[in-house]
Amino acid sequence: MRFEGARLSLRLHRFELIAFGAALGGLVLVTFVAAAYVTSLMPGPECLQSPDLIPQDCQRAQQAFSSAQQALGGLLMAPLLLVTYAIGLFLGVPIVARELERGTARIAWWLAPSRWRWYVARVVPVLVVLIVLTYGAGLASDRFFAVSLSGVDPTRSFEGYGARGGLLASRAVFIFGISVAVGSILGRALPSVIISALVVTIGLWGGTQVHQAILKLEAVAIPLDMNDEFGGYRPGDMYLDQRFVLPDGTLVDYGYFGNEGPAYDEFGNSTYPTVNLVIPGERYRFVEGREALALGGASLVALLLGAGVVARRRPG
Amino acid sequence: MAILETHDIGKRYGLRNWALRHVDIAVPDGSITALVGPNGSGKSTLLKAWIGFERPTEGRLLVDGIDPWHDRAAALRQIGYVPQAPSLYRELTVAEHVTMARTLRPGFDASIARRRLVDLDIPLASRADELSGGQQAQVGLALALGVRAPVLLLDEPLASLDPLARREFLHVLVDAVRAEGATALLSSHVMTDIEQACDRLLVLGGGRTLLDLSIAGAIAEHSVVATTADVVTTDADATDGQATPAPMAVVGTFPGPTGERLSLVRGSPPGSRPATLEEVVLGHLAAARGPRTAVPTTERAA
Repeated sequence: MRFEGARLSLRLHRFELIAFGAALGGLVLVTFVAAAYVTSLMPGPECLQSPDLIPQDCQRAQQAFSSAQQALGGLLMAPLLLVTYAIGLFLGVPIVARELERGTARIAWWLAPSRWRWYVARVVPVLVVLIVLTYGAGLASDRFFAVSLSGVDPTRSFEGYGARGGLLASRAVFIFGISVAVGSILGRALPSVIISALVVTIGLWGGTQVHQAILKLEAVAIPLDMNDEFGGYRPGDMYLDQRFVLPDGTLVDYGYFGNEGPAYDEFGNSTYPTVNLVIPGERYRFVEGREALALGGASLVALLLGAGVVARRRPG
Repeated sequence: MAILETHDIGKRYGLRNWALRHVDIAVPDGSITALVGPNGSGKSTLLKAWIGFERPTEGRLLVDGIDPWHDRAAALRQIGYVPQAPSLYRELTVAEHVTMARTLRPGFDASIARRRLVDLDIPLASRADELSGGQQAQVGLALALGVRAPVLLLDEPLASLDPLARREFLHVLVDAVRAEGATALLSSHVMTDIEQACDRLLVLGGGRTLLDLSIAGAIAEHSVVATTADVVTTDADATDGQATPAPMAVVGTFPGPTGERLSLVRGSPPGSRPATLEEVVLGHLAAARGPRTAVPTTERAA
C-alpha cells in the first residue's frame, strides 16, 4: 500500500518527471559518452615526458585533447547545471501549490486524517527520484572532470567544485526544499516558481559568501612563486585570495596600504612577500561534505516549514 | 441526539467581515438536513469548520462530541465530505482515486466505492478529466461513502449538475445514508431536490440561523398570502371605515413567479394558501434581508 501511494504521488508529477528525467538522463548519457571520447583522445604516456622531448605528433594529440575537453566541457556543463537546478524548482513547487490551486487539497486533506503523513507521502517519493537523477548527473560530471584533469585525483581536487559529485545533488535538494516551502505558503504555482527562484538565488549566493569567509579562515598561505605556472600552489587546490606578509608576519590585503598600494621594486615585485591563500586539494572531500551537510540541513528546515504550513493552512 | 453541533459559533474574515455570527445548530443523528441560504450566507464556511478547514473566531462546534480544531484527525474519521467543486486529480483515473483514498484513509472501504461506481456505469479506467460533471460528482460521493463515516457533509454538490444527474446523485445519497444509518448535511439551492431528499431544513442568512426545523413542519407552519398595496398600511392609515383585520404574523415579503408580491405568514389565516418549501425559504430570507413587515396589515386572500 505504501508503494501504491508512492506510485500515485509520482504519477501526479508525471509530466515534470518525464520531461526533466529525459533531459537530465540524456545529458548524463551524453556526458559519459563525451568523457569516453575525451579519454580516447588522451595523449599516450610517451607524450608525458619533458616538453623538450615532445614529438610533433604528441603536440597535435595534446592540442586535440585540450580542444575536445574544453569544447565539450563548455557545451555540457552549463545545461547539466541548469537542468539540475530547474528540476529542483519544478518538482518542488507543484507538490503543495498545485494541490491548493486546483482544489484537490480539499479532498486529499479531508481523506488524510494526518496532514503530516499526507505531506511525507507526497514529498518523499519525488525527493528520492530527484536525488537519484541529480546524483547521477553529479557522477557524470565527476567522470568528465576526472578525464579532463589527467593525472589529478578528482576526489583531491577542487576543480569544478560545486558542479560535480554529491554537491550537485545537495544543491538540487536545497532548491527542492525551498520550492516546496514557498509553494505551500503561496499556494499558487507560477508565483511560487518566481519567488522560489529568487529565494534560491539569494540563498545560494549568501551561502557561498558565508562559505568563502569560513574557507578563508581555514586557508593555507603558500608563497607566491612567479616562476611556477600556478604561482606556487597545485592545480587541484582552491585559490581564494592573495595577501602581503608584513615584517611581523601579519597577513594583509591590498586595502591595508590605502590608495597608493604597496611599494614595488624596479622589477615590479612587491616589497612585501606575497602569499596565495588556498585550500589544499586533499581537503576536497571534507569541504564538499560540509557544504552538502549544510545544504541538507537548510533543505530539512525548508521542508519542515512547508509541513508546518500544510498542517495549519486552509485548503482553499 | 445531535451529532453535529455549533454553540454560538462565529467566523470572521479580516477585521469586520463576519461570515457567521452567533450560530447555534444541532443536527439530529440519522437525519438528512438541507442547508440553505443565499451566496455568502456562511454555508461553506460552516461545513469547512466542521472538517477543520476553518477555525471559528468564536464559539465552539462539535462532530459527534469532538472539536475538529482540537482533534482534527478524530473528527475527520467521523466525516465523509463532498466538496463544492469535484476536486478530483485530472492526472488520475477513477480507479486510482479509489486506490489513493485507500492509501490516505485507514479503513477506507474500496470495494464499496468501486461497487457504487460500477453500478452507475462510471468507467474506472477513465481519467477524471474525461468524466462529465455528474460523473465527477458521483466519484466524489463514492469516495465520501467509502469511508463509511457516520456523518456526510455535502457542499453544494448539485450546483453544476443537470436535472437527471442531480436525481441520480440524490438517489444514491439517500439510499446510502438510509442503509448506513448515517447523518447527512446537504448544502444546496435547489428546493425540489431538497424536498425529495431531505427531512430537515436549516436556513442560514446574513451569517445567522433563520430557520431550523423539519421540512414537514416548515411547510405545515407557514402559508402564503398575496400582498397588495394596502397590506403595508397600518391601522391609522385605513380610511374605508371597515373594521381593522387581525394582525398577521408576517415573516417576510418576496416576489412571486409572475412579479406579484407574496407574503409568508405563520399559521393558516383565512385567505391564505399552503406555502411551498421554496416560499418558506424565500420568506425567511426576505425577512433577514429587509425590515420585517410584522406590522398590523390588511391582507387579501391569495
